[in-house]
Amino acid sequence: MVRNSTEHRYNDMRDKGSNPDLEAATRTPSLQAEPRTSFALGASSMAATSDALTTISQQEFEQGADRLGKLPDDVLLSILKRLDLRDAVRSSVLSRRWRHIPSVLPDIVLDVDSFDFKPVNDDGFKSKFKLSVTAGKNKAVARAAKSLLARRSHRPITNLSVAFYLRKDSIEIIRAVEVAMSSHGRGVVAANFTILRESVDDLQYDEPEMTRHGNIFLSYFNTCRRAFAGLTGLLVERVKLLESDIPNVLRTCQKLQWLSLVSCHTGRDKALVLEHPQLAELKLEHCHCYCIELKWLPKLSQLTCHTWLPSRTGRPLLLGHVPQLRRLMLLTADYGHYPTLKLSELLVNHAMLGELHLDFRIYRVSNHECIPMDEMLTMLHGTSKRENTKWELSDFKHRNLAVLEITGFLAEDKFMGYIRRVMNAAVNLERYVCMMTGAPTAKLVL
Amino acid sequence: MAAPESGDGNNGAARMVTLISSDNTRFEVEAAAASLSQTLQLTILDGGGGGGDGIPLPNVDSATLSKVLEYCIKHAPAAANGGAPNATAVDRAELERFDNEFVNIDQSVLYSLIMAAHNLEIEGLQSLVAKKVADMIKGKSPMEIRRTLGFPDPTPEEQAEMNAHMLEYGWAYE
Repeated sequence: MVRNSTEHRYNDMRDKGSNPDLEAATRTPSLQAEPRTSFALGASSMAATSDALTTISQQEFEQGADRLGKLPDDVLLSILKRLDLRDAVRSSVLSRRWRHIPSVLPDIVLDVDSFDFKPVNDDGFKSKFKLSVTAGKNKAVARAAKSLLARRSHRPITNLSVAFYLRKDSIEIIRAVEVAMSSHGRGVVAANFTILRESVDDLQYDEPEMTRHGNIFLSYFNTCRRAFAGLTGLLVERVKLLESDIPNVLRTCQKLQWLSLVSCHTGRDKALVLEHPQLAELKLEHCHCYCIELKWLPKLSQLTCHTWLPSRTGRPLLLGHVPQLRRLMLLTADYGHYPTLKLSELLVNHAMLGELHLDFRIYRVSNHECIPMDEMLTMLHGTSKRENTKWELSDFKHRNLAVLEITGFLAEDKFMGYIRRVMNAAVNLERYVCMMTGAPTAKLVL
Repeated sequence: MAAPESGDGNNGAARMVTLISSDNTRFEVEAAAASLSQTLQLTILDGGGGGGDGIPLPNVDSATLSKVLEYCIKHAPAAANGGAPNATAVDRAELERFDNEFVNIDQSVLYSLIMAAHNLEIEGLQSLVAKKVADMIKGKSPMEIRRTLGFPDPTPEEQAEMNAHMLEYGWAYE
């Protein structure tokens, strides 16, 4: 076997391994700095013949490990992306060359639910003070965020996703994110916060608690505006905010692409008026939000109102400038009087709408009891004849509606006729689901 | 000469190409199999590697190359089917069995394979070996990983560095 028959080894093939970080890592005083060609198979491996596949000496075994320790960053990252963050960070202790791993990881996902905490005495001065499980887990997230996000490197964080509890001390986590986003940190391409309620109980409406949560959330926001300004996604659970707070937050969070509000209260009997240049996905789940006005959302493509509690009076949904809106999902909760939503208006004015899901479900109030709606659902509506005549269905063709899903109503002839006309108008409808409930008192009037 | 397609030849006989390892061993292999390598694909599409020419691979020794080609030959039919959407469950299970067996190898071979897959840009093999190393690391303590991967025991100086590192990232060890 000719061992070094080739003079140009790895130099002529693309050497993807070169990278300032690794080279910096090799410059640690006690480690022999090696040139880029160290990534090439050394002469010893050239000797590896087929018999080497079966018998490998301890020395060769260690050489293999040694070479594993010197893998180029690209290869190393392809391994690390298959590990969870903890394993990736732990493996960085193995070799000096891997020591920089925590500062080059492209995806950093810190989820408070993935952190374990056994309630023991807190360290240091407050040794008598016991942390609750949620406090302990949150603290672990804060420590992880601080250790990971304080580093600088030439590789920005591609995706930073942090889920933590809505507690006062979470401000530490947000500060750490702010540092990473600043010129002192790695820089962050996309970042999102999932701010969870601490208690895992049901979503019962508890106004004082929600107000307190709202204040904590606003204190995060007021203290670390730069972190919020860098967010591309935000989920907030169970806070009460004034109707001016959300627009105010949106004005600062200019990069926001998705926003989810879960069990939030956004102002009684006032419209939630939304304007944002980037927002593409908006989800309101179980929110006390009486009227949503999508005033100016040029990029909005999807709106979901899940278990919605809309206004008893007036119109629950006002669509302004939403030229990109493709997918609309409205799922109501059991809520007595429903307002009217003119489907005809929706379809005529928003010809780009591609999917419409309407679910007038009977809201399950408790586990064993299913309370039927005692009011007629009139959300899907063409109500008076006068209005119906305005919508010349025969002339109107909706070319983009591909999915129409309507569930949770009682079938009536008039309604079915109406649906049929919608289907005829929606010339490109691909999927259509219409499910009736057997609830005796639920009716849909058109 | 322009080859018709990288896949099967026109008259039943599959087109062959020759690859030459760093230690000058020649391997003749179906073009379809060699084309799993993104690096080789263009050369092969241009008609290279046929006849007496051969494509020199100065980065890959013969032991590694024969291993790489074993993988490519096994995976070529599925790859030709565009990721084998119509592959049967049996076929897929067989490939999976092959893959598991394939990476059941020693560190030094694994390392050579990682580098070869990387340099030849063989996507499936890249993820296969990366997954293998990841699996060797998963859920283990640093000392266990050291032993699994065959890293030598740390010097006292290195141990001190490791301790500092573990202190800094204490949350990852809980």
